[in-house]
Amino acid sequence: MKQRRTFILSRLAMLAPIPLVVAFVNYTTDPASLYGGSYEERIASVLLAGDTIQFVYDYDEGRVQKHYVEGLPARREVAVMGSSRARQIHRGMTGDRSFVNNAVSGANLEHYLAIYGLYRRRGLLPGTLVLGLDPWIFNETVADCPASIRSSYYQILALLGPEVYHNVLREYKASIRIYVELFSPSYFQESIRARLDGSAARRPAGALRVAPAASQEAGAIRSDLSRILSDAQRRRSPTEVRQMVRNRIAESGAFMLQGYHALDPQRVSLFEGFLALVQEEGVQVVLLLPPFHPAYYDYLTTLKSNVSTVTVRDVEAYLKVLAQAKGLRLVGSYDPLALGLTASDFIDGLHPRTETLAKLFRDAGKR
Amino acid sequence: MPTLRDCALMVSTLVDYWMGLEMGKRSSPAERRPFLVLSLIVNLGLLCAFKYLGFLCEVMRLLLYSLNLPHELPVPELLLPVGISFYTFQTLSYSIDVYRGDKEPEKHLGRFALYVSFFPQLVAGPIERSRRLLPQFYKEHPFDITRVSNGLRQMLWGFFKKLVIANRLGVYVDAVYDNPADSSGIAILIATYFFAFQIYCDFSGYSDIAIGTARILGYDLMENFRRPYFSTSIREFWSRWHISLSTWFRDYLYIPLGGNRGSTTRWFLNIFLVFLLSGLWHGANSTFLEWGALHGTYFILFIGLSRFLHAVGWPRPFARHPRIRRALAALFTFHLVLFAWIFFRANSVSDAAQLIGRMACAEASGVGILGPFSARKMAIAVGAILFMELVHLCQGETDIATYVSERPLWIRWATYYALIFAILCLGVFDQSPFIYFQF
Repeated sequence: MKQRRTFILSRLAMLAPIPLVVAFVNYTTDPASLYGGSYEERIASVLLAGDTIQFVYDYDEGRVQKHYVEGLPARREVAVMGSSRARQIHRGMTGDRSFVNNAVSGANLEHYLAIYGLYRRRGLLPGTLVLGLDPWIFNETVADCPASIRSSYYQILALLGPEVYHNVLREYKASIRIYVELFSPSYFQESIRARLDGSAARRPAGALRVAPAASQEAGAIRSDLSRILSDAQRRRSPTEVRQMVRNRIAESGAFMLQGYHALDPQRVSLFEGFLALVQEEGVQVVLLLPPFHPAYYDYLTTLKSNVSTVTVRDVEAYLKVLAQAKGLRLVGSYDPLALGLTASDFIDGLHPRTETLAKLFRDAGKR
Repeated sequence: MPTLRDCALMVSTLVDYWMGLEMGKRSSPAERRPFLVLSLIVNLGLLCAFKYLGFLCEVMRLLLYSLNLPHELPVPELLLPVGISFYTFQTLSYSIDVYRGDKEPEKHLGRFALYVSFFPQLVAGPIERSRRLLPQFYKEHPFDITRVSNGLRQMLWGFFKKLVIANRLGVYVDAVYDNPADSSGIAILIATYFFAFQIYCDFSGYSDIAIGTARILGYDLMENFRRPYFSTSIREFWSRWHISLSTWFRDYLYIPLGGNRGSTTRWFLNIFLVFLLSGLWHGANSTFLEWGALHGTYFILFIGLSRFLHAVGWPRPFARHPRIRRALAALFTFHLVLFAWIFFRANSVSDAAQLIGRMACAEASGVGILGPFSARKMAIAVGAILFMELVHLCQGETDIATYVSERPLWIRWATYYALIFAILCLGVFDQSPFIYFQF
């Protein structure tokens, strides 16, 4: 017995440095911002102070949104939610009222609920909510909510009907998982990769770089969280953009639309419930459909059925019917030709130019 | 409500326990035979029902269709109980040993059930003989530092092979073999080499983990792999690869069929049949049958060629340079085995033909040499294989745990740390089940 105990304890002592090293590297590198958030908190505080920021990389966008909304001094009249396809929308496009852009890259239904939940917690609901809707929001195979804003997501979910208990349990499990990830080999590999390719160093501990003016060269984030494109992105020719579209299709096919064989009824119901809640709370809703590059749109509407049965036209048709039924304003279309747009109005397959989005709002204002 | 799938292990255990007791009460083989037959029917019946029924129905359907007869047959889709191919063979070996009088029937149901379902080797072997494993359940297994240390070492080596090598190579192999029409000849060639090491590392890695776990608990399981790619002939390969299965087929099928007693034709027929059934054991797919048939053919050709060369007095090549001779023989044997692996891994016979065709024509179109790998990942994959083979060269015929235990303390601990960090940094942890779990 003594021999066994001595053996086990001695071996554990000799091997103890391994999990400690793993935990140390995971915690200090933290590529997915599971433990810290000081980087995101600093980004948010610089932006809330009214400055434009540059050269910030590999940050948790959800966490930045969380710190930003929690730090808002007053209600905003207009808030935009959506994916990176809506991130360029800025104050000037919506009538120069007090404004915030809550768009997050790859945003899904969960993000809208989560960020709206943050506003509800603060008691600072916006006057108008512009929802930039992407066709994948009803694709249940890509449903996801970042850990940083999951608790507010569950709070809205509880309001909309699903059992609170399961959400609380999921949240508990999610919070436990964060500490289990400390010893995770996969997360260790991500941390090592982040250190080797330099992305860990791109989250500096020191002062963040504030752009003296809306600096054009490198791209920036305005104080309202909207994004300024870099010079390189703005200067892309239609030929370059067309090549980028071809490359995207070859490398990754239909972004977020794989395995999309039905407008998931639960997600449809969740979305309609969310809209009803927002309207009940006195927030005006505008639905925005950011267009796709013509070549990419053509590709999306002719996907093979083993990739996706649902097409972007199906989603748009549903949203138009919904907007009419609920008396909501609908701006834009996934189809660029329906808006009189051409290839030169895009910086890549998914993202319109800033001027294109501005034109959308201008034309919508005239109607 | 438990299904037959849930009860398969229990049914197999209870039937063979009971049959063993009944056979033990009878002294003559003739009196024992009905009980052996019943054991065979139940075990092979379960195996066939879960593993081959769908395949047989499909074959029947095609046959009826070709004869212009009504061919609408229900094709059952039964989920395979985990480890059924392994534990049915394990219990059959018990029944046959009792029938032959080589083993006294086990009277303790609990110990017999433990023999059938011993967790380290339940899912994918090694297929243990009752004469070896059952007596161990009657012994005390006091804590032994050497044994536990060796067990841990073996497990560590198994995890390294599985997580760093097998899972990593699987990414490349799957990308190429699942899309033969979109893969260049060179990519297919590399994927084939990679598969040879993937399946070895996956299966031997599992065996190491199973044997190491049993060792920690005080139990001794049989060796299942012994550096098979260093074999200098097909015959030697089968004495080093999946040893528990090949010896099972030798003892319970090949020898009862007559082995090499009788005419040469009969001998070769026995060999071919054993390898064909060995292929079929892996699954109800014509690719496995082709794989088995190839190995049977190799075996027969090897015997035939050896006899002919000996008869004509052909001098042994490189007779004065035994090391070169062994190296060339090992290389040749490895490539014979490699060719057969194409059929084992291909999703269908037509896919196998396409893969071979594209390789033979050095087809340039399609996924290139790196495949889904970056240059860095390719370097890691190749480096890991070379490292493993270097270890195999150094260890010789000693088992890995003993080999490491003989090194100085600082080398041992440096090795443990290096392997653990290699697993942490280079391991592929996505859900890649062990290949042999599907059998």
